[in-house]
Amino acid sequence: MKFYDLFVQSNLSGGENSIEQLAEFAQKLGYVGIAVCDNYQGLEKLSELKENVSKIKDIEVYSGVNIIAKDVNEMKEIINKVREKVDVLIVSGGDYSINRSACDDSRVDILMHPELERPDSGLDEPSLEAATQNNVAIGISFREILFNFRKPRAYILNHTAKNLMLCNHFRTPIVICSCAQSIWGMRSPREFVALLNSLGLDIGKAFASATSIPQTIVEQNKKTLEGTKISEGVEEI
Amino acid sequence: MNEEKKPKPLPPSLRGRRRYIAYQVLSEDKFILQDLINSIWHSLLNLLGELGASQADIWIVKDTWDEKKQIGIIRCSHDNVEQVRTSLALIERIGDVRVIVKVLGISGSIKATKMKFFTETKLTEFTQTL
Repeated sequence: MKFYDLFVQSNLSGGENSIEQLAEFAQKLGYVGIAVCDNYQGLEKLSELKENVSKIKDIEVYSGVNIIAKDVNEMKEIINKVREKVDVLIVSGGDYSINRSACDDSRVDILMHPELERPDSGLDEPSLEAATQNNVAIGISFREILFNFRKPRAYILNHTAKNLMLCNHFRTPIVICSCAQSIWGMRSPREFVALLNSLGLDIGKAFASATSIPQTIVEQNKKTLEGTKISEGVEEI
Repeated sequence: MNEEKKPKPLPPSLRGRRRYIAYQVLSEDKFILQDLINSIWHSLLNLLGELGASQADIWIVKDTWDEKKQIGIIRCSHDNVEQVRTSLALIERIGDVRVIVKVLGISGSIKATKMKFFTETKLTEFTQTL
């Protein structure tokens, strides 16, 4: 089974370890591919990231961007700039308007932690219907669970379980990522599956969220970047 | 005859079904076993609560701890394997040392767990010698 972690951060944007160290450790934990998604800090940093990523040969390493936007306009502006340049595009959720517009935008791959710092789960029926239609996956952040304790962790687990139930109902893809900022924030992929299963997700779907769904995301984006995928359902063979 | 009196063992049909989880601790520095046990219990009680931990029927098998390889065994109820696995994943530090607790595998008896994860001997070789 091929496991992917589509969100780890390197030392290029506040992380602790280099891309080489992250890739080596990910391989040790049983991943076949990781995506280094640094916070967006401009196109120069992005090209530096892509250059470093291309040097790794042992496992599949993809370049990505994590967009932390103040409002919807800023989010759309950054998406326009980077979509054609990265393998994985992640939008950090939390604000409802950002959650909603990320679900409405088919260029977004993953809406990460829509429940962040909210009194509710951050998703509703229209958002999830749009996410399913536009193939936007809902991301579960392991970092938020790992580094919060007691009451905040209980709230995060509650909202995550609610989102898992809703995603299951609306058939929205789910992706679990470590969101690690150092190798010590990474975990074996089977442990992520156990977490999702403990939160009420069916074991088969829990496995899919760490294997087939992230694999589809990176493969589709690779085809688009190479130019072999012309539009949805139309490919050059 | 000062032997300690013990209750008679229950028949297999009345015993709870158990699983043995073999785990490995990847750490940035050395730590002591008691700190590891405290961290495991702390994480279990935080995630499952006292009632959940009691239902999970946890027993940390101290004798099986391999200090060199940093490998050990935890026993739990067969219904709670995924929850115990999650609790182990949520251990972030042992004392001040940053760690990752990685589950190597799960088995139905201590003997099989030791054969599979502690030694180089394969289980098939073991059965051939019987």
